[in-house]
Amino acid sequence: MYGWGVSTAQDAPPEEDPALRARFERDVVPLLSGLYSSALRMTRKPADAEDLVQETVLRAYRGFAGFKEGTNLKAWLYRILTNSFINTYRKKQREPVTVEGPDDIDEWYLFDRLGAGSVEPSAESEVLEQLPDEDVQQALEALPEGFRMAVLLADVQGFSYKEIAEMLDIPIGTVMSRLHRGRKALEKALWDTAVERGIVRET
Amino acid sequence: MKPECEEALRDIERFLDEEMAPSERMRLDSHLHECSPCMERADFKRQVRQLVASRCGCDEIPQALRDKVMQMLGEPHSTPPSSV
Repeated sequence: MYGWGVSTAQDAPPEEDPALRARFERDVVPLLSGLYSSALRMTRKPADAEDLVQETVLRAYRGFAGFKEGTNLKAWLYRILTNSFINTYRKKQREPVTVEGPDDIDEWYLFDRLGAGSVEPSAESEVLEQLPDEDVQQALEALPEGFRMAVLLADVQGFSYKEIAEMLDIPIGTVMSRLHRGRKALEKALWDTAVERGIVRET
Repeated sequence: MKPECEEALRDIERFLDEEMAPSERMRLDSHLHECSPCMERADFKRQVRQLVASRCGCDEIPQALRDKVMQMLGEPHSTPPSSV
């Protein structure tokens, strides 16, 4: 059912294979904080993020014997994370995947506004540096789920179009359009937050 | 706007995503090096992404959750007690 391999009957579970367990610890444990960050952005609630991380690690651990060493472990792990989120949390929230959002935002909305102020050329993005972490996180978390997942997986976790398409089970063209629209919506949200914070003046 | 700038900006997202064929990529890259307004826009998009990446991926896993996960893997021997 899932794209990520579940261990077959011949594969010894990691708890019975010390070498496999050691490899899991060595390779997966360093990725835990990134996994937790992503789970937070997906669920938007620390308690749900903790459950999601635990579920993901458990599934990964059970399926680890089926993971081909030398292939992309992080992509494999995030596919489990994404699947777990979609199957458990979206069902729980009874929300269909949303990709609605304003479609009339100009591609250069934020750039033009920052450039139009008293900001020196090429210092546009430095203004945004003044935003607290929470504001940037909230801007991402407020995006409709379809956009949020694409932007999170591409811009925060650095996955390719192809990897994201596989994780979300959507065509590459859809990944590109969600990224494009999601990034525009995110830039607008960052601008609105900067105005609210008084970091920039509405133009 | 010049047609080559229009073309460059249309493709800027795929360029920054490193999703271009090498020949396409080289062409856009050389345009950016000759055209500072386009370069400025490309740098801006790049910096916004870096901002989002650094602020949205920086949460440390809580110690209690890390402990739970390690327990699930059937520790205890991977972190020996510091004092006996």
